[in-house]
Amino acid sequence: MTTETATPTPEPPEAGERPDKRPPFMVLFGRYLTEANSVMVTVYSLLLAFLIGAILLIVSDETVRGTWSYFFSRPTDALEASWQVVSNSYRALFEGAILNFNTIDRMAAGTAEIGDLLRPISQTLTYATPLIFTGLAVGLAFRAGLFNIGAQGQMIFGMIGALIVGFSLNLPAILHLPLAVLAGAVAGAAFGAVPGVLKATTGAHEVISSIMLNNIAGLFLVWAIGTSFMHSETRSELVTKPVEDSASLPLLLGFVDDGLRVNLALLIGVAAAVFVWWLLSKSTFGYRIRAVGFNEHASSTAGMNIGRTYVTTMSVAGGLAGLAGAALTLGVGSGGITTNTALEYGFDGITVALLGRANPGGIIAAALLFGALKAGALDAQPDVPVDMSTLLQATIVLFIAAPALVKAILRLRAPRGGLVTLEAKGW
Amino acid sequence: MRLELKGLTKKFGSFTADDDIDLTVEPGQIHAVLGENGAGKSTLMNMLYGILKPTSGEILIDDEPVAFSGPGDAIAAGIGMVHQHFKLVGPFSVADNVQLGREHTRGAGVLSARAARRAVLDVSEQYGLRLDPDAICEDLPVGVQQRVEIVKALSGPRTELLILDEPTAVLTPAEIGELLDIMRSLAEAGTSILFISHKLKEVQAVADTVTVIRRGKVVAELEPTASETEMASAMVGREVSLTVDKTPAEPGEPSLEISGLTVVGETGVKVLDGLDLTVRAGEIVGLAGVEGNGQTELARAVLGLIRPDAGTIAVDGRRVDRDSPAQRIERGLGYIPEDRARDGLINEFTVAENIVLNQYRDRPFAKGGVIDAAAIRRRAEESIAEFDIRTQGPAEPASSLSGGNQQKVVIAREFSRPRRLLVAAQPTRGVDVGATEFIHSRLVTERDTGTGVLLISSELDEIYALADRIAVIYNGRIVGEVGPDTPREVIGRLMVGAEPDGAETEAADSAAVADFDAESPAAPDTATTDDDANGGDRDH
Amino acid sequence: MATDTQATAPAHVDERAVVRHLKAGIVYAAIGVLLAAGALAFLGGDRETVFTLDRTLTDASWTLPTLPTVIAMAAVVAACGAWMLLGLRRGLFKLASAIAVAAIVFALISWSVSEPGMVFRAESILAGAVFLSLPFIFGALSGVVCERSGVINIGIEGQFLMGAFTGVLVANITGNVYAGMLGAMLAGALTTMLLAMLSTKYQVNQVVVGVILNLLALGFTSFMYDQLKKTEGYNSAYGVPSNALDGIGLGFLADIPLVGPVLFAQNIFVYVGLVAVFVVWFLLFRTRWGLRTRSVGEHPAAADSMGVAVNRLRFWNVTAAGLVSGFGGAFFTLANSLAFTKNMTAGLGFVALAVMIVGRWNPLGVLAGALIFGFASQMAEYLDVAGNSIVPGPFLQMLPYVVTLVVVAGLIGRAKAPAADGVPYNPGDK
Repeated sequence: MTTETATPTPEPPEAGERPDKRPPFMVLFGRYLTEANSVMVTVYSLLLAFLIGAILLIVSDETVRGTWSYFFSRPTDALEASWQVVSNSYRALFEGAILNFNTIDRMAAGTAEIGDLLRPISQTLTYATPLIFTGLAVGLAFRAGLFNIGAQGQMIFGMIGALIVGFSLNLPAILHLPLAVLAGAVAGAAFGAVPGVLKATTGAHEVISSIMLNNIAGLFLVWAIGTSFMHSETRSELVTKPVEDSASLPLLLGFVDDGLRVNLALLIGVAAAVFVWWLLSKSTFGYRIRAVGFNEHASSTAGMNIGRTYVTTMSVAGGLAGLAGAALTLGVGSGGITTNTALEYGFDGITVALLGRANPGGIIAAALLFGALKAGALDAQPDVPVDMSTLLQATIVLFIAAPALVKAILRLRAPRGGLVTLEAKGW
Repeated sequence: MRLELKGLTKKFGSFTADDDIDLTVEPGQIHAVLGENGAGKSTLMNMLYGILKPTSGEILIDDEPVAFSGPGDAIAAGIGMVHQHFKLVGPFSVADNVQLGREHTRGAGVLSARAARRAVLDVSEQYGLRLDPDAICEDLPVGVQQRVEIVKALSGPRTELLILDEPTAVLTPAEIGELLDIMRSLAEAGTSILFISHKLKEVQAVADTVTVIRRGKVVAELEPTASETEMASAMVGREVSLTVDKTPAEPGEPSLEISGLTVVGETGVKVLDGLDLTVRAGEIVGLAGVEGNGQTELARAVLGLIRPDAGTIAVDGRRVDRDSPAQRIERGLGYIPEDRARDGLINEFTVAENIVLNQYRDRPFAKGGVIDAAAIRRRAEESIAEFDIRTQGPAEPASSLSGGNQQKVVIAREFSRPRRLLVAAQPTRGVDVGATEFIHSRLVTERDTGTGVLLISSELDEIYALADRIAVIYNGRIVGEVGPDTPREVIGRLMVGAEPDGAETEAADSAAVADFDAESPAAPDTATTDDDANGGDRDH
Repeated sequence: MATDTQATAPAHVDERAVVRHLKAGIVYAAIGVLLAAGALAFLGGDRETVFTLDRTLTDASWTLPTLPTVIAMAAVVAACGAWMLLGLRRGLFKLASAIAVAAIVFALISWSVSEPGMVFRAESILAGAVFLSLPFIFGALSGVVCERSGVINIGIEGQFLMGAFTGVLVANITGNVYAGMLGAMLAGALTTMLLAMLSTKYQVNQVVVGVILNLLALGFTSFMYDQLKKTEGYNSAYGVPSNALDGIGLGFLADIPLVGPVLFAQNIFVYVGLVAVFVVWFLLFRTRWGLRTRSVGEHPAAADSMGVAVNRLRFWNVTAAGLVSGFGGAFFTLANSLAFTKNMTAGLGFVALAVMIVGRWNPLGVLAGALIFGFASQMAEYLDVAGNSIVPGPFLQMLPYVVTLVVVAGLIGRAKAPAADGVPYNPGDK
């Protein structure tokens, strides 16, 4: 059963204390900082992960390692070289993701436009967009007690669904685009329902079945791209036909510079997050999802159909992941998709959901952070290994998933409500 | 062995489970520790056995202070314990369970099955506890599992003190009699025994000394000759009302008809085997039986959580076999699950959300698939007032409530919607005395409004107090339906599967029961006539 | 005073009772009919399936006419289905299923190698199946040790990656492939030690953390791969001698027909794997350590009450299990004489988890399951390489994953995991 296990809800530290007895703000604030509440665990997880990343950068760099070999004769060399490699790498990540100071200089010199300045942000948003969808896909399932690590496969089917509608129909944009997006969602939902149905009918654990379905989806994509139906008519390598312009997602900042790739999917993603929030907190379906997620036995005793809840939740989750696929397919412009278009967005969705603690708002924030990491790492190649972002992501969520570890490392105090973490059931 | 506890205290955070407990067990003595659920008995024993560390205080064995860092130390010091919840590894054989932690090996850590088997046989012969060392524990009846536990406790290097923590909870009256005899013969052989119980009659039957604890403190040291009323009031702290006021039932049409109900369990055993049972409107049928004879499956089958392999269930004259649990609930089936924490409540949900758990889709709590939080809160506030649920408010999480108040939430949920039939499984388990009285009177009120009530309880006293008719379940079958004034020993025999006038087993059984009852004037006791004798021995 | 509580024993279901299995019967009958119809429709009457012993008796070959073979097998399947529909003794149901499945498999093999120019090279294929079962053996054994101790090890994939990467790295640095194997084992153990620490001391959710550890291992190995590739000589392929028995003078055993190439002409990984299966089995079921391990996986409170230090035992068991899965990781690089590449384990760590479930948490069952999966992988690879199969390559590559899916869906409800699997033990709880 996946649940958010927090024995009573964590309250802000001042709650329940009388105003007259209340210690000064700075004391309270200091207490808050040294407590393993979910906000501070998140903050410290980020810091610890970047620290570990820095150590790995130092250890794995040939030149820097060389300077450490004579550390005792000339320590400044080693420290300086280490500082250099770490600060350069993180600076490159920042410049690729948020703001490049060189561009400001170049703008002052007149060799760069405003579009160049916005490019890193645009890249971050572009990479964050599919992460919002896959993060929601994993997060929503989490709330029902399901660990959906199948977002990758669901997204791939979403790509295929959106692509087929995108290139094979000839419609005005006002119809074509929504239809293509919908096709992605439906294809993802159908594929996402499979592990739900398997769990509901046979008890097969969704983690294993969705991993297998991810592999199957990946191979299916390889095959599908090669078929004459989907393969590009003009290019020989493994790439599909491009979607029609009428099905392409319009760029949001195209009026500034048409190289800024962030597109309408970002807004769809935000809308999806709002929808999921509404679903979970206001609808009877969301009530059922949360009930089943917290305690399936009590839920079934209260007459809820657990199996059906699994299937519908996984379908909706799959639909969200399918939207990620649609966003990718309909956002690549004139290129068509390849086996690489999907990257690892589905797996990254797991880390997004965990960092966002399966809350739609948190998921958007986490998607932005990891989108920035990805944009930064891709931009900073080859100075920074491209997998720096995966490494940092996994390290961050490892700490998030093990708050007791953070608490122990930093000797934080236990929060009043207990440590908050996400759980998934065993066999 | 002489055991002495001096000022033993255990705190969990701000909660004090045991406070300054003094207690002495003399060699060869049976020392009973009497107290309600939650009085701190189990915490005390766990400190004695090294599972928990005392916050302060001393444990002395033969006047030497000892400190245990784990059960291993306690075992080495000569203490054996039979836990309230058996600590048997189900798929292991008896011999493996007994040798766990002190294995018989042929060197290099390789097990010697023969030595393990012989060791079990030695101990079981020595104390007259018959056991098959090769039997798989999870296949054994509970009475035999308990025997395994005792043999395990006695198989330590030199067990001189035996702790028995609520050992009779799951036993039949006959098995209880047998256990008490074993205790006596062990004590005669010089073993000291600490006997933890909340059952007055058993304590009176075997103990040499009785220590009563309440809310973690020793409140009385009594002789076993003290009256039940004296013990009961020491245990619960006030004079307890032992009666449930009720008028004779006026049964109407059948509200639950079960016929031929059969459920095959995972292992191929028929947990329900052609069970027939009828509950009429306006009566309480008490289902008596030792736990594990199919009660759980029966309740779950009535709700529709398990599909029977054969047989029919009708609610209010209409077959419900094909209905989902939701449909049955809608048709007026109320259900109080036996395992509240697992099936009754969602700890993380608020009190309000829990109160509408099986009505969340209905008006006025939801319209068109959208939750109306205000309507839910209003209902919760009404229920909190009506059922006297002690909580800071409807928005508190259910986990913040005490056991009794959690049960009131479940009861409020079931009683605040129209219903024709109520299945109440162990409705007062883990609930304090006050809440128990409240729940009992609500069940009677429920009956009086014309609902059929099926009361499933492993506590015979609860059945006697409430039932208008008693059905006894054994091995998945109803083996007898009797009136509410049937003597205890008759029901006791039914509970072990013996015919009421049966031939061969009867002698042994009635001997056991008679022996056990000899020291208490309890039988025959009924809900309406013999309250005092029956009173304090109520399980909560 | 003796009262036997078993006065009336609970009613058991009769094993000999005749039972009808409608769903299974219909499915098998339908498969049989479809198989026959498909064969008649698509399979030319001139097709032949040729079986050879390609390494020892290279001249010998056996030829079966494909169409009649497939139809005969289809008839067997349909007959099994009919038997189930008409009713059979409860105990015989498994036998009937096994016959039907075997017939389906044989029919599909006959059909798929009947393409012109294809031959079923029995020795190569079976030897390959044994070889390809190794990652499943090592991974699943690691899983068995962890889960018998009560810790879910969903991070086998990550331990594979760490082992595969470290194996090559250490072999490169030391110039010794055996040192590489050792390095792989230690890397695996370090990875599981993290899981062990988190699941005992910090009581985390083992499924979530296991998945994260996989991502972490993927990120770490990919990161290091990129970093180290800047310098030569850290990631060159290292291999082991292809025939380990040659080295100790038993090379002649490889000449025994069929058995020789399959069992006696393999590299050292195969022998380590086979020995490991029996060693783990013996340790689990015949030693004090095994008894205690199984007890903490089934009922940790019971073990604790008998003085077994539950979390300490779990910690060291999980750590030790990493030695096995780390060694399994070395299979991907050292056993195949390959350099490390990113994500080269391709989800096989999860397939190993399925093998563990198929093997019902028992090393001997794991061996059987691993061989089945190894065979499926080998057939897929063989048909894919042969290239003229009627099934497209990607679909063949899906085979192990599909088999896993089917098996997990079919078995997991019935196969019983250790009772305390995945539940952190906190001695304060009762």
